[in-house]
Amino acid sequence: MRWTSLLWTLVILCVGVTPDIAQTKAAATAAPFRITGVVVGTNDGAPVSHCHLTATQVPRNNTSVRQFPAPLETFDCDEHGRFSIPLPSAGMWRVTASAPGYVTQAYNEHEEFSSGIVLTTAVPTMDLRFRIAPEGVITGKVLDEAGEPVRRARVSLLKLAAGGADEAQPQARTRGAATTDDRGVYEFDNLPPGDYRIRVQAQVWYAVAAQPQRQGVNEGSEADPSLDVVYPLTWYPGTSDANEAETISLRAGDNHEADLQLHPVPSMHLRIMPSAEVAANGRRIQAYPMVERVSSDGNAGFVPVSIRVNSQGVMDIGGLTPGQYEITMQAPGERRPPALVDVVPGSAQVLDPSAPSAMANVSIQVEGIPEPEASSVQIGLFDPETGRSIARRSPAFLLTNGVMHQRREVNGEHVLEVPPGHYQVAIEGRPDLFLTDVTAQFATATGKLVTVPSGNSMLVVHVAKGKSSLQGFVMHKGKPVEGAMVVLVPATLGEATGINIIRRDQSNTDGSYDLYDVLPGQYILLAIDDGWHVNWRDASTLQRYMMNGTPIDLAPAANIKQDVEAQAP
Amino acid sequence: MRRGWSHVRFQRSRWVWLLWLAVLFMSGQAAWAQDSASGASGPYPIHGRVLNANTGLPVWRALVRLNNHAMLTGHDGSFEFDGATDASGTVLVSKPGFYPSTEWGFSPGLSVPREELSKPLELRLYPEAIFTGTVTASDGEPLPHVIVVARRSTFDDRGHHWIPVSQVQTNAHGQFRLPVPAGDYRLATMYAPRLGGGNEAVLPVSVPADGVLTIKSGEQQNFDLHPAMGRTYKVKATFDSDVEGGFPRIVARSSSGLAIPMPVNISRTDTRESVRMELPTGTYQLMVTMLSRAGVEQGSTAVTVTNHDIDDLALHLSPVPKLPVELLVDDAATSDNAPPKLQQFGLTLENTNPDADFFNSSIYLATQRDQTAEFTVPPGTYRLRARGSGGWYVKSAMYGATDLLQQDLVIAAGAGAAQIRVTVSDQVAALQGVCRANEGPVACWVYLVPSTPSAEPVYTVRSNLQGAFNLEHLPPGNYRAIAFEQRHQADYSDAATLTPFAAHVKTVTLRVGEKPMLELDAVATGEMNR
Repeated sequence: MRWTSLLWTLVILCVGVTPDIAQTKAAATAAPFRITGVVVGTNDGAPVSHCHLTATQVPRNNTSVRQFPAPLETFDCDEHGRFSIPLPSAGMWRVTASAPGYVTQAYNEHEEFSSGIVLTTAVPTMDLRFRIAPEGVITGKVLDEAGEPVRRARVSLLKLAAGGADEAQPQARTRGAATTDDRGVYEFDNLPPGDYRIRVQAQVWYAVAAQPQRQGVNEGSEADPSLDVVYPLTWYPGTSDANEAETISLRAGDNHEADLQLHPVPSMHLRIMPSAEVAANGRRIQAYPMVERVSSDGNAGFVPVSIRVNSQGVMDIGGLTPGQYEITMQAPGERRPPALVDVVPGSAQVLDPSAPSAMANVSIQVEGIPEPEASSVQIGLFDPETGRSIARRSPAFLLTNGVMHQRREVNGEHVLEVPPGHYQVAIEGRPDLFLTDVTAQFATATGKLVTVPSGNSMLVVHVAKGKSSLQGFVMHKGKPVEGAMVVLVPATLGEATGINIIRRDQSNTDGSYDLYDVLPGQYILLAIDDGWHVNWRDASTLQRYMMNGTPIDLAPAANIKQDVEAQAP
Repeated sequence: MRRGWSHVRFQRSRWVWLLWLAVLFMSGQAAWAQDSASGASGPYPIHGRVLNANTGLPVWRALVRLNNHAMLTGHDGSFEFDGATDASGTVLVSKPGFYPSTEWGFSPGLSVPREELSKPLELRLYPEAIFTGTVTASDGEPLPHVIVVARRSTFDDRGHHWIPVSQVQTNAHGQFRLPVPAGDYRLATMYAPRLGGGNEAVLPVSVPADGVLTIKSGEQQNFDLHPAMGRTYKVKATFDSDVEGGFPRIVARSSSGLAIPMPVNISRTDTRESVRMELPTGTYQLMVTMLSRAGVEQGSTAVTVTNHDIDDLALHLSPVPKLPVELLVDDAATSDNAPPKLQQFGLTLENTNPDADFFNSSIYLATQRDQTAEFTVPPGTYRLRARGSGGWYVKSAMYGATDLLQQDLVIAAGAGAAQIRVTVSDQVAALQGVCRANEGPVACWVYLVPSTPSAEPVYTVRSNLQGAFNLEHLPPGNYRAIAFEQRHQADYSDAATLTPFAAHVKTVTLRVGEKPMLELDAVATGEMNR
């Protein structure tokens, strides 16, 4: 059972879908459906007292938007970790357990998958041995160049996604954020086992840019260079190069210490030429910049900067570290389109708001489905190397680097403003649609990859409905297998064009699996019993299992039933 | 699902600890300093040291700013601005973990003339204080992720305030650290339903329940908080009127006097809004305040939570009474002053019993489109506060037969609203004087406390560096006056506040048109902190 991709749907729908609790409860006492069991630690197998469980029914149909009911009330287990959850109906239930000192987990959870508990009139009850992992903790101290604690440093914890080929946008995901205390100490608790990285963003407390300024602008003297410093974005164990970041592999119950020391570097400066715009009364409109840093995981953050204006109106922005920034000039009563600036060491950066934009203005049309549905489809441009979202077109707003802008329309078309370059086009938020082709005017397109130049260009995104679904049972010698890793490998894997997305699921208590919203095409279906440590991303490893897999030909909008034999890991 | 909780949290700026406050400094007192400065003339470097005010030890890596110059102090706490020949300057010093003053909200900007700058400067930093501790359940189990807040008790010319100064979540071991400036505090845990994904809630607890904790600069105090825990149930309450777009705030008052600000989840079905919350077992009065397009509405309902969810609670809101305020000019007022406006007197009603989070501690006067002014006053007990302005002062304030300068304003639920009549006068007095310490005049803060009925609990003025002070536009009447070498904010409406300093207190009677001279023996810094 796959959960994470559907979580957002769940979150959105929960607000509107609230079952009548009293009725649910009345039904529960009368109904014979029940999940019982004991919660034990993965470390020692001992029962976990003080635990809590929730049960949520998982709908099993292939509608484009699946509605999830809200979880039932929380059930407490007894001091021996035993629990009994009365349920109002048969069906597939997702059960999660939590306890102090343990990670909140779904039953038989692996990465983003878990086994659903399937109850029927024939099997109305089920007794589980529910294993949950002791929480991991990463804690550490952030010190400055003199060994003194750095307070209020923003520490981000990034979990390396298990994903890859089955993710549209593989990347490290921010798992949490913490702020250091007066001793420079931060802590992340309740962590599941996994691979993590730590990133710290902090202000040099004594730096020019950190000092409050009258109306945000200082006029006059140059800053003392020893105080015109910044801390670069620093990765554990102390590097500003993300590629040198150390990965912390956390096992269940681990307590990992990750201390960092920050070293200041000279602040980078950006000069902004005065705007030529003149107000109706003839006075020059003074616009002030809003500076946001564009970070690799798409989380833009406002950066406190020092701003000085000379007599010619040239603005000097200090307090910047090397990196990409989005500069939005704001004047009273107006907000102008933002400019992206790469601040790199060794060159004076100048931004001239009056200069013609070097950005690519990309208008996007969706074809293949009728209006007005076509206009409502959200299209995103991604960095093909990192999978990072660069911009997206949606009916209500435009996002550039995670910053929301008012919708801008030119002749009824949506226009995305992005730096000229190479992008991958993808549909977002519509699992029922698939992208068949992209054609371009004043730009080039190969498959889903496009190259857009400065100035105006147009992309026509051809989409089609009719994603397929695949359901069945994982069997071994005629018996259903619970918790197996089900893998659907496209026949075109590794080829430049064609489907490159590997889909996975985990079999439920009755051995069943569901793969929804699958792109039509040819696949090999396989299942690996207890195969969660198998390196399925490695082509040669996968090849070994594919030999015993089942070929599947999925026609558009097909719903295929196919059982699969579990292979030994 | 915890989405949609409209839980109000304090937004604390990342830069609170970097509050730049100016520094009072003592100049030319250290012997080492006098040697280096003697006989110098012409442009000389501005220099000095930064010291820990408690220990006298140098503070290294403190940032000293003088006008446009800035530098970090060395290992011996020293600093020197080589090229600085500024005619005068404002000196600021800061370092994380230190405050430039023991007083809260000390106003920045002490201008220093050149002759003072030429002497070695001795700047003092006060180490912050810190509350540490744990939050544990009754069985000793540590409670992680519980919010602990330190609220500081402060007084100013407008009365008493509780200011949330520092807030933190307990860590995995239930521990917390709250660095704060020295002062008077209460520590409190916030209501936390669904702790650890379960059905238990952590109930608010306040330490101390009454009174304050006093913590000094550099001090660490440790507290183990043991909030009560309770099994919670879901309670759904539906408004019996259309309150679309409103934002409700709900406080559950238990029979034992506990007030719990409720995180609520608002939803709309058909045409009715309902709120969902999680209440521990017990009997409560739910006090609902709704800010909607219709204005402020309020209601309350009783609910008893036993061992099951409740989904049929009805909430009825009524508009909160509005008290129009009328301005009258005293017959004796002279006509050559500009006629006053009600808005210039900063009228507020101070709640004598604000709720747990002190959101409702003060009610401000609102001016309508037709220029009439009114207070929107939920039931409660209030004290009227005002300040003199433009040569005018509030001579009397009446609510029916209630004299609001001497009595509290009591608004009962469902009571009709009468008018508040405020009479102002420009028949004022004045006071001048000088502060002295043992050897002569000294810079000081002067507090003038009215003994006769007044809308202002205290008049505060800061002397110049030579100790001279001047207060204009004072209501005629009797006063007690006291001077402190440092700012000393306290509850001056409480006569006991000045008891420890009785030897320094002088009484003075001010009459219209007069400006008597008062010499005050300032309370020394050392005596203040005892």
